[in-house]
Amino acid sequence: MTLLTEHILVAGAVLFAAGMLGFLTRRSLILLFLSLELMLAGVSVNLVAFSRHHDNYQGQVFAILVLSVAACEAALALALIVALYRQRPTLDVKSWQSLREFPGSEPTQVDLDAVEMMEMGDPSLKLTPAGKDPLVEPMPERLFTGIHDLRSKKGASIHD
Amino acid sequence: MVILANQTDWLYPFADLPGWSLLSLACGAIGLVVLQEGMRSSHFLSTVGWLLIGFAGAVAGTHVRPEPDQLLFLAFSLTASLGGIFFLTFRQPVHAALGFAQTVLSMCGLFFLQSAPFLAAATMMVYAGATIIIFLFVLMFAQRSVLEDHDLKLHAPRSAIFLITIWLAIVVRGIAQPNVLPPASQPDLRRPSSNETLSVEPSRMVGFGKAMFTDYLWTVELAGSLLLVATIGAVAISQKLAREEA
Repeated sequence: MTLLTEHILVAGAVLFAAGMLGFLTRRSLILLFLSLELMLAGVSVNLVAFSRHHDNYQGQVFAILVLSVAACEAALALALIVALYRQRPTLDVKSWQSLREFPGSEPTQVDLDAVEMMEMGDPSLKLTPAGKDPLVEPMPERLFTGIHDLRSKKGASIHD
Repeated sequence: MVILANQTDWLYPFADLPGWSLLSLACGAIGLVVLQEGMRSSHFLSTVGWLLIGFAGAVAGTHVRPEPDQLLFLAFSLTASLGGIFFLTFRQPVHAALGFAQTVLSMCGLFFLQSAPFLAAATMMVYAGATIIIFLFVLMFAQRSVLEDHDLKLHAPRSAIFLITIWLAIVVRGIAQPNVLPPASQPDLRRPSSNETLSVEPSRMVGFGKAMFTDYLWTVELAGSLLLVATIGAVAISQKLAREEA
């Protein structure tokens, strides 16, 4: 038994899993981005394995493309991290979680002009209005910090 | 196990995996949980975690009889996995980044084994060189000397490890199925370099260069344009912020 393609595929899957685990658990912005790079590396291992499996250069050329995408991602992601750091001097990803839409958020303010234009059939307006305008109503500072709070919130609604 | 072993029944996704591999995977996952906790709190816990991971490796090692030509592959995979564990558990971001670098260098070894020397060299330069250097620059810019809360605490580590262990088991089971890989494809004779094969020893790089600049010329051009656009974008982001600050 020689070195089979399947062995390399398993090694690539392990690398991808490590990257995914890092992306889910780590909280520093820079380490999140390194986890993404690790996932891309696992995919490159698979591509090279299939290049040898088919005995042509297609997979390797694709891996070169993935490599250049990873380099672009490094430059842009770190520029964005520096930009975010200038706004708020921390690397914690949770300090930016007010940017998301949280469960149970209904629009408190609807742009009536936009609704009218949508009803008149303006093709440029496809999105439904969602979320809250942070200028009208500031978000709570810490809405929930993790799955425990979510669970307790659900339990409260059941018992109520 | 025998009753459940039905090739089409995906309700029992681990039925075909041998018991020792499941034991090894579970021990490794539990060891990783304990190690992640121990790296923050106590030496005792991290020792227990390393012992569990080592036990998982020993269980796997007693069932694998490597041939001589698989030894290098096993060594590179082992160092890559170790680097991944360092990356996941070390709380100091610089140490975690060094674990990442170890993983990438081992991956370059895998590329050499797969007869992709150019790709190995390029990966070494781009990942282990450029990416790590940019990372260290940003870290120097933004990281405090004291470890902060977001460095020490992980986000839901136990559920994440549980989910991803199951994911990994399903993927490995899928790979381990017989005849899961397609047969090697026939060369497409309409393209000029598609019959370049990897096996001709001295002209390896020649074949790769021919394939890149004949068959896949547009791919290479696309990658180059992407790099150019990304460079312009990175410059634009930083310049705009500098003007706002002034």
